[in-house]
Amino acid sequence: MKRLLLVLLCLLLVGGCANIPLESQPVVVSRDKPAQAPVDVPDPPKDLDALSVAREFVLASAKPGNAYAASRVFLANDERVKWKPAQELTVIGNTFRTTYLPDEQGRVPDPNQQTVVVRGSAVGTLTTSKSFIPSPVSSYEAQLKVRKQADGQWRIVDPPQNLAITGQGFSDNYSRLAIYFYSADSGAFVPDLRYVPTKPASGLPLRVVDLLLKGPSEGLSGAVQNLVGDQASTETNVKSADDGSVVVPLAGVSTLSPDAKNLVAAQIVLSLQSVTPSRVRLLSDGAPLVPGKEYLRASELPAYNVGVAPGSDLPGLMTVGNRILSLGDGAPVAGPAGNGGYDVSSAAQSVDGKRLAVVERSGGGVRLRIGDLGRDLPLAGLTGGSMTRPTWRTSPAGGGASGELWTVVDQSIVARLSLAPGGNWAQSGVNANELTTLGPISQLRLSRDGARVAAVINGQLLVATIVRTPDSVTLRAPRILQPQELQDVVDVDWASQETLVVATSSTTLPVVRVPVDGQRKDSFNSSNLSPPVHGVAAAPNRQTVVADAGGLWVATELGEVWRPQAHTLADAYPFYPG
Amino acid sequence: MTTVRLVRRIVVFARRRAVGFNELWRHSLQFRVTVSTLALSSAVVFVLGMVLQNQITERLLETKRLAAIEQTQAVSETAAGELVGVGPESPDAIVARLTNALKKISSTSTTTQDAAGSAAGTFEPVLATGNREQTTAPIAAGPFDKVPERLRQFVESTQVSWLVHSVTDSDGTRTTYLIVGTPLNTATSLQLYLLYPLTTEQNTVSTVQNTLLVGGLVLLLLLAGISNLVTRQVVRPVRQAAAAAERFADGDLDQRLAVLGEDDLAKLALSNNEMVASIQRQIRQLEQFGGLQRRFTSDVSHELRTPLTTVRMAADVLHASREQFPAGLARSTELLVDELDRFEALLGDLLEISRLDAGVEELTAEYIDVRPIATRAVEQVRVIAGTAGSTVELVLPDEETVAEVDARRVERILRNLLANAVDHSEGRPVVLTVGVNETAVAVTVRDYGVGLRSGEAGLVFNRFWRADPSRNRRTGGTGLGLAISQEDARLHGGVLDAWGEVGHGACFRLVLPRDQDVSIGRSPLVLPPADYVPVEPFLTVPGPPEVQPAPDAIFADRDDREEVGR
Repeated sequence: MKRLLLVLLCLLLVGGCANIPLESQPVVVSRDKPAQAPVDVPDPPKDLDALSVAREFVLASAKPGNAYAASRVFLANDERVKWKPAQELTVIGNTFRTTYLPDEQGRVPDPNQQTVVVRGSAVGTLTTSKSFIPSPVSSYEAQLKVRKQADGQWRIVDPPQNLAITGQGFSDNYSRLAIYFYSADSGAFVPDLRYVPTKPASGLPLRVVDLLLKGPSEGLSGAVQNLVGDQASTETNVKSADDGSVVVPLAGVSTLSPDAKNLVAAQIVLSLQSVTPSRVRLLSDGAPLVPGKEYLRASELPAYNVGVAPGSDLPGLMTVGNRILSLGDGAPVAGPAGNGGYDVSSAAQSVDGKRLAVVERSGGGVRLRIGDLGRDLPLAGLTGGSMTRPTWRTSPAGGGASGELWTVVDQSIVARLSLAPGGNWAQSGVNANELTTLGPISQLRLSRDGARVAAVINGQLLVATIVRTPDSVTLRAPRILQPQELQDVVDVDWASQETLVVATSSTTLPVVRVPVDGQRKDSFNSSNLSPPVHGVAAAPNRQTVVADAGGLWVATELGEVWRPQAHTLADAYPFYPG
Repeated sequence: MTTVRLVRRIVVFARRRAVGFNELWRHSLQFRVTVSTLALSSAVVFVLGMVLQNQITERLLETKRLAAIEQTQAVSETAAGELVGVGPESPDAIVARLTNALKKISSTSTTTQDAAGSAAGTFEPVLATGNREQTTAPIAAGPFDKVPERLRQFVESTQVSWLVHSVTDSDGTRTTYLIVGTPLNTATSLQLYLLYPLTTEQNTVSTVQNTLLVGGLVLLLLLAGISNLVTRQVVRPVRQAAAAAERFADGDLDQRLAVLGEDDLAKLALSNNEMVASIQRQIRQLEQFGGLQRRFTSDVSHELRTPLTTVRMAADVLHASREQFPAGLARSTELLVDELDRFEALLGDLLEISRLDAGVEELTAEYIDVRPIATRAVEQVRVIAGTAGSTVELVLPDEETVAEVDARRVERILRNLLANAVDHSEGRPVVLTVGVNETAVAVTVRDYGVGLRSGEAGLVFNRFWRADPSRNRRTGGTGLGLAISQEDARLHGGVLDAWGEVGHGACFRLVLPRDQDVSIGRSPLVLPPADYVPVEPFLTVPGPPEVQPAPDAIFADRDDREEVGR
């Protein structure tokens, strides 16, 4: 009986062995080439003091790779795994201080715990949509609790949700990208500036498409359309194909109209041109997005943004005294505007160059004249104590001559005049409450793509978004650019869709170039200018013209020495169409 | 209660079966060979099946694993290409990236059907961002929870590894996977796991198992049948031979085995037949020889009888006138007559025994009371007993003891036994006891003389047997008395047997059926006698109560004991 049991047991045992196992231990497969060792983040140097730990943490936070592995090493062990930093970043000045929090009265100091205060100047915020918003406040302060660990090292025990990184770290580790969105009003693509981690560079197209599909940032929403819609996504990842093109496989866009598909294609190609020189292969659910145009380059696109820049036949104008002269040959324009028929205070030429608006001094106030260039300029029926230089809105592509112009009356009322069917200029309002509450508006310039407006209020530079509905036009999301640095702005103009050139009355920064989000400022050479500068004119692919006490100066590059304008005159005020 | 009863019943049944099996095992060569073949071949089939199954399973897994690893390497290149730029995104974005890469992997693997891919079969891909330090919870796409921790540790430290793991789904089905994990060659630490279900392999193995099981069973049954058939071919002639030998032993000397063909069994039958024929011949010869001898004895006895009668008459004449002869002559005459008496008795016995041998003696049985026969026999030996100094006691049942016997022969038997007892009684009493029951009558003659040595009890009935041949023949009978008595008892359908023990005397017992047609059954009197208590010799010697001979005396007497005729 026992033997029988034994035999049965053996049978079961052997029978079990012969089956496919249900579990096994991991077995390493030997490979010919050695495995690529991952780059480990080195531990911080030993025996760093608490202040240095906090400082190094802030510096390391600029590297977002591998889920902030670089900054995680400064955290206590259990926090390393738990820490989930928010997507929003605060950018602070390059110089910041770390100090111990002074002990409170009556509190027994814990020798193993310190609170470090990080203090610096606030620069701005990188939002979750990766756009930069200048900081409304000037200073940044955060507290970090640092505790001595069992191994004698100081480590942060309460890592902040919102990380602060230095401006230098930001520019070193993040790249600025322009994501283009279509504005139906102007028929142009409007850039939306975003900042994505630079490394790994091969992933940049991926991030661009990602951001693009998520739609415009909060600052631009309303001004532009999100063509692709919410259902749009990437079918597989955007990557470089073997044939050298960048493949963008889209999904959820097959229902779009052919026109919209063309626009989407252009939007993607335009956005990608800053990160890859390759052709872009656009696919929708595996098939070409635009039939017949599977592969696209930016240069092969139709000229969508042709209207946003003045034509090359328009050299620009200048106001000298009460006359308007051409910048190209110094000759006065035809008609009363050129021969001193009007007491011209300021003037603006439409982007297409056909129309001219003139603010005429009349009595104690001013009044507006609008008409065709070289002809008599009829009064537009707008008068006031003062008016900013008018600014023309670009007409949609193929929409004929510009039919809308803005000016600020008495530094507080934003007036919008549009050409009524009868040939009269009808005045309508602009909801600019968000701007006017900030102070008197001394300058107002519409961007040539019609999506944004730049203004000077109290000597500060602002950019706001124009949201158009059939009933009204609203200026919203005003942002003061470089509030600390630019305090005495006198004039502003759009150098490109995403760049502004600013003239200030300061001697150190007379002419400054600022991106539309104010993330940085680049000053032009100021060595041979004689401040104060009182005017600036800029346009895409044009020399920047500034007016100082001595006359007009031109420069193309940032560091370039200013050259006298060919037809410079004292007290001239230059302006390009727009 | 019922279960206990059931179990008990089963145990009883099993035990009974086991006993039956044992019986069969002991008695049937065919069964033994069949069962042995079955057991041995099942062991062989089992081992073979296991080896085969192991081989198949191992090969299956090996093939699958190699193909899976190759496939994984190929897929990992695809995945690395897909994920080349993944890095500092938000977790959501990374999940989207990984999911997209998975889509790509799935679509690629379905479109490209290369050799490795088709061998490895379908798989479920999983992508995860784990790192060696495990500082963060990994972000993953695909069924990441199916990947066990122990494999992740290996793969996260950039080792291409595999394992087999079973996962129970939410609907309860248990799936076994071969999971191959590989780190991706990307800037960020990423891992690709491919989960290959082993369902097909499991099905194959179970099919193989079933096939092997069924095949093995069929093979075993066939083997059992074959061995049964083969053994039968050998066993049947053997059984026939055994039956023939049995019949031969029962006296059917003409029994022969059938010789078929020229094989070993035929040779066996042939040699057996020759042996049987030879034995039969010898038996016939011996029979003839025995008959010749008996006739010779009978003839000699007859032939001697006539001259002896003449000699006897002449001797009687001489004996009658012996007073007229001188003393020496007279003595010679007496001696002559004495020896003639003995000679006559011997001759009579010889004639009697030759008649018995020849089978010519017939039993003239009648229903008669046995007690008077016994009394008569005692009376006849009382004179001899008196000269020997022994007394003869008679113990008879009170009631009439009727049996169908030949009174003359019974009397002769008893007389012989009594004479023999008296002869060896050494002067001690001799007891004759008659016992009776429903079927048999028994007579014992007990003496307390020197007794018999062990083994002699069977020899005393041999003709002319003597315990000590050197012993002087001084007294008594012809040496044929007990042999004749035994033949007489046999003629009655009865039994004559003897018992003796050195120092305790001897006892002879005659058992006769009361009815010639009814067998004896149980004897009314027991042998050894009831008064004998078997004890260690030399410690207490339970002799007859009145005499207690010393051991040396017994040994001394033995030399004088006359055994001839007992």
